[in-house]
Parts: sequence; structure tokens; C-alpha cells
Amino acid sequence: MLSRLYNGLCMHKREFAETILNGSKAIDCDTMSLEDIRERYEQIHGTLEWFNSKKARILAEAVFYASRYRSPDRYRLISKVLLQALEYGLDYVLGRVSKDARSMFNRSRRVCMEAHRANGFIRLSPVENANGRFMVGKADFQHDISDLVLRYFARRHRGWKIYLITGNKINADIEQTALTAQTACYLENSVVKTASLANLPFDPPGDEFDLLWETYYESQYIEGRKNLALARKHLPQKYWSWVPEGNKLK
Amino acid sequence: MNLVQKLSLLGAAAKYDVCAASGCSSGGLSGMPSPRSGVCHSFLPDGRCISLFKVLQTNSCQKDCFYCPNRVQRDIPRASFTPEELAGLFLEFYRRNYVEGLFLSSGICKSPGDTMEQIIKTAEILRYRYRFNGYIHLKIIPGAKPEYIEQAVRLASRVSVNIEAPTAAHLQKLSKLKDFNDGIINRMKWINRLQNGGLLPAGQTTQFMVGAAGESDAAILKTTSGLYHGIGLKRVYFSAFQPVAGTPLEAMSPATVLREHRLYQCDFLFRLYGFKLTDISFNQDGNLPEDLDPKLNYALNNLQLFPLEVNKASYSELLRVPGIGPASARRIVSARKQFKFNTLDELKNTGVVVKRASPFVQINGRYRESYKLVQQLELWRDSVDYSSQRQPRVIFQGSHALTSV
Ligand code: SF4
Repeated sequence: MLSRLYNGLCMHKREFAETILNGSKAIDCDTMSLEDIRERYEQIHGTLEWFNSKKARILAEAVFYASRYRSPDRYRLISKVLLQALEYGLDYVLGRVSKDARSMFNRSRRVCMEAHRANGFIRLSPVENANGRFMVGKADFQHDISDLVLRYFARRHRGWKIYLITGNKINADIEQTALTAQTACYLENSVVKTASLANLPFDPPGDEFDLLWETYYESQYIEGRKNLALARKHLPQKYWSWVPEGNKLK
Repeated sequence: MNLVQKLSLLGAAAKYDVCAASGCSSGGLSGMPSPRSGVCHSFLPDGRCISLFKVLQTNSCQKDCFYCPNRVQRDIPRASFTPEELAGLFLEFYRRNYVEGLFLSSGICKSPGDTMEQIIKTAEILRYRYRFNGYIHLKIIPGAKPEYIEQAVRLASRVSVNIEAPTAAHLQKLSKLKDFNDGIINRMKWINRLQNGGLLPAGQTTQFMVGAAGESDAAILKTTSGLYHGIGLKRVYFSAFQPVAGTPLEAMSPATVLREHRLYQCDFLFRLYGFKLTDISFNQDGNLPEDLDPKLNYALNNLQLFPLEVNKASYSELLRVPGIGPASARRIVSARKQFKFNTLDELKNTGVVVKRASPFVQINGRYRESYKLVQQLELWRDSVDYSSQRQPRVIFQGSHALTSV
């Protein structure tokens, strides 16, 4: 709506740095509320009944995930698709008829897929000490999903604080910027924070439980159905270091 | 026997059971693989996923199933988990995010009642002592009494009784001690009645052992269709028979994974595409052609229905086109309210596999006059030796669909 109102590209302030635009065409959307934008839009272009519909929620969900796709043009693509929704209707973009809509939904799907795999493949080790109860895992994400994953595990393990140890800078939203060595991320009041490994409230745990898992994993394999290509398709090499059994797919 | 040894033995004994934690959670609004939907936690070198901790309570069994590694006549180490042991072990796997839920089966030790008691105790410990409210799939032992079934149904997210074979006569070839009608089908009906009372969020399932009783695919699919429509099963699974040394069927050839795959494709056509048993074409021996996808086979046998105009065809008609699935059919129907499809690319953007679909559709009155597509269509018959075949033949004007050469 903003793009159509002002004939420009809307972004959050910090995202200007990511774009190759010279800034003059960009609109800082942090300066306006959604209701104001909608009111102005409806004055000029007519009412937006669909804005409250289930279909709009579907689009909103896709936009939510696509906005976490790491690429310099992520917001530009989303703006284009939203403009198409305004111009041709929601069904047009939800049907992914245009290349842009298809591309945005594909990005959204990839982000979902990464979050989905992270939820499955991250292994957690419990640690309990005087500072509290912690579940510690290791992960590196390609897209901006650390908060989604931390929230997922927080819901699954109520009463435990979740820490994910990562090797890279994990999220542009995180207050610290120059992180290159291993760090840990965790949630504090629903916001993702990071800490260096030296400042963790626990010693990084080892887990003797791995032996039981390996025993179980080996017990499930059926030699007569061996299909390494299929296994690698579902558990790509990128994740092999996350799971103890990763080396069995080499 | 220590815990690791028991785990190795009782895990391996359950590996032929097929399971999926589906049906307990849905994907996202937009139909994408949502981070909320069923999670796979690992993949085996055979390509199967591990999402549940799949294990037997005991591998001691008094039954004689001819294909089974746990059959009573087999001289193998026997072990059992106590309910406490098993519940504790599962919970440790779950906490560490190795698995999403429990799939608990068992050999029939002493009697069906005794075995069900152990299974139920394990589930009770998880539900009441550990307050685990995640996914639990419990096997119902054939011949179990109604009170045990009711208790299991109250505790589980999903239950299943394995049917193994499509008819009583076929089951007779696999076990002299199992009773098809009373022990299995009647139990399924009881479960269905309980489920209709609002229990079992993930429904009831069953499993066929494919290829061990000399049954045909037609027989399996006939029973499958009956189970869906008559007893309200949520899913039917197929497990390709693998011979086990030291069993009466050890010399039999294994069933191919491709046969299992074709059965699953038909199962999807029943559940998601609105196909009926009569829509499926079989070879003369009653088996599905292994070299041809059943939906493509349907299209080739019903050429009079094609080509379909994508701008006009109904949702259920679109579902009959090879290369168009429920998601893309939905998108097409919804998008064309305000838009007319003109190109294959637009169709492709909606998720249609145009390579497969294009011989069977028209777009705005036009279709692709590409002979390459005709050849491609024929190439899907994986096992055909093309060097020895004549040229493929166009069946009728306006369609590139072919008869077999
Ligand atoms: S009942 Fe039959 S299939 Fe089940 S464990 Fe016993 S022998 Fe095996």
C-alpha cells in the first residue's frame, strides 16, 4: 500500500543499508502505522475488504517468511508482489501466477523448510546448575530464523532456557554486529540476544546419551532398502554436523 | 541384558513397522511446510525418516507369523522393556530432540491382554507421571479385549491394528494363529466407534505386508478402499516384504520398493484426488504396472476426457490431469476468477509439472504442438526398450496422449 501511495519502495531504516537504491525513492515505514496507511490508501484507491480475509492472512504468512529470506532484494520482491495483489487481486498472487509471486512463495517455502529442518535436526543437551536449567544445541542458519527456532524449543521445553551455539553472525536483528567466532543466542523477553561462549551461565555440555541414540539409529536401518541418495536429499550435507549420525550418510 | 542391548534388539524388531506422525498437526495457512507440521528428526541410509521412537515392548511372541523375525519358533535372544524403563528412555530421546513421539508395538507375550497391559502402563506413565502431551501411537494387539482397546484409545494420539493381508485366505498363508475377521477387522470397527466419540486426534491406521502372501495389488487396494470408506481409517501403510533368515519365507523373493511406491501412489489418489478403485487400471495378473505412474495410466486409459481446458475445467477434473496436484488445482481455480491463463509458464508458476500436464491440457483453446512432448510422454514408461519400438502414435487430433506402442 505504501509503495502504491508514494510510488516508492518501503523499508525499515536499517534496511536502507542493504539496498542499492539511492534512498530518495525509499520510504521509511517505521514512521507510519498500518492503520494510517490503510486509511490514506482507502481514501485514494477505494476500500480494502480483502484485507481482513483468510486469504490476506495466507499472504501475510508468506510475506512473514519471505521477509526472513537473506537476500538484498527481499523487500523489493515483497513490495512488487504486494503491488500485484493490490492491482490484480489476492487470487492472482496466491495462485502464484506471476514470476514474482512464485519467487516470493518459493523463498517463503525455503525459509519454512530451513526452520522445519532446524526444529527436527538440532540436538539439545540438558544442563542443570545453580544458574538454572538450560537446553543447549548447535546450529547455523542461512536465513533469519533464530528467533523462530528458539521460540519453538522454548514452547517444547517449558521451564528450560534454550541456548543455540552458532559459528557465525546469525541475525541482522541482533544488537551485536561483529560476531565471527562461536557465539550463543538465546531469548530474553522475547528478543534474541547473543553471548560469547566465555560468558555462558554453564559449561558447554557433552552428552553420553549419544551412544544410546547411535544404537537406536543403527537398529532401524534396513539393508535391503539402501538408498543413500534419498537420505541425502532429505538430510543435506549442511546438516550432517548437527546430528551425530551425519557421518553415516557420507 | 543391559539397556543398550535391549534397545538394539527391540528397536531392530520394530523396524519394518511403518509410521508417520502425520495427522496430528497441520501445515501453515499457505500450505507450505510450516515449522509447525510433522517434524522428521533424522534419515536412515535407506532414505526413511525417523520422527518417532519406534520400538517393541517385547520381542517375545507366541504367534507364528511366517515372515516375522519374532515368531515363536525362531531361536533368538528375547528381551522386554519394563514400562518404567521404556517411558524413561523415550523421554530422554524426546528431551534431546531426537524424536517427536512414540510408536509402541509389541510381540504377544503370554496373552493379548497381558501385552496390552504393558503397553498401556507405558503410555500411562508418560501421560500421567511425566505429563507428556505429545504424539503417542499404540499398536492394538489382534484379539485384544474391548476394555484394553478403550484404555489405549484414551491414551493415544493414534492407534493401529496391522491387517497384514487383504483377505482371510491371504492371512492364512502368513499365520495359522491369527483371525482376520474377529481378531483384526472387528477390532478396527470397535476403534472406529470409539473414535467417533471424539477420541484419537490422529485417527486409526493399519499396515499391509506387501508381497508375502501372493496377493495382488488389486486385492490390496480393494481392501484399502473398503477400510477408508467402511471403517474410516485415516491412513493405510504398505511395507514391502523382506525375507528374514530362519523364517518359513526366508527363500521368498523380497517385494520391490517400486511396488510399494505404486501402492502409495494409488493410496494418494484415493485420499487426495477423489479417485475410486474403478479408476485404477491393473495388469491382467491384478498388479499395477510398475513402469507407469497410476495417474498417468488412468489418463492414457481415458483419453476421451482430454485435453482439458485449464480455464474452464473444474477442480476435480483438473485433479485427473497428470502433473496437477491438489495445491496447483486449487491455485488455478482460484486465480482464474480474475485472470485467464494464456501460457505454459503461467501454469508452471502455479506449481503444475508442465512436462507431464501439457499433453493433456489446452490453455485458452491452444495446446502445445510439440512432438518432443509426445516422445517425453512415452519415455515415462521407464522399462520400455525404445530401440525396438515403432514411433509413438498420437491417438486423436488435439491430444498428444498415446496408447502403448
Ligand atoms: S504377532 Fe506375528 S507379526 Fe506380531 S510379533 Fe508376533 S509373530 Fe511377529
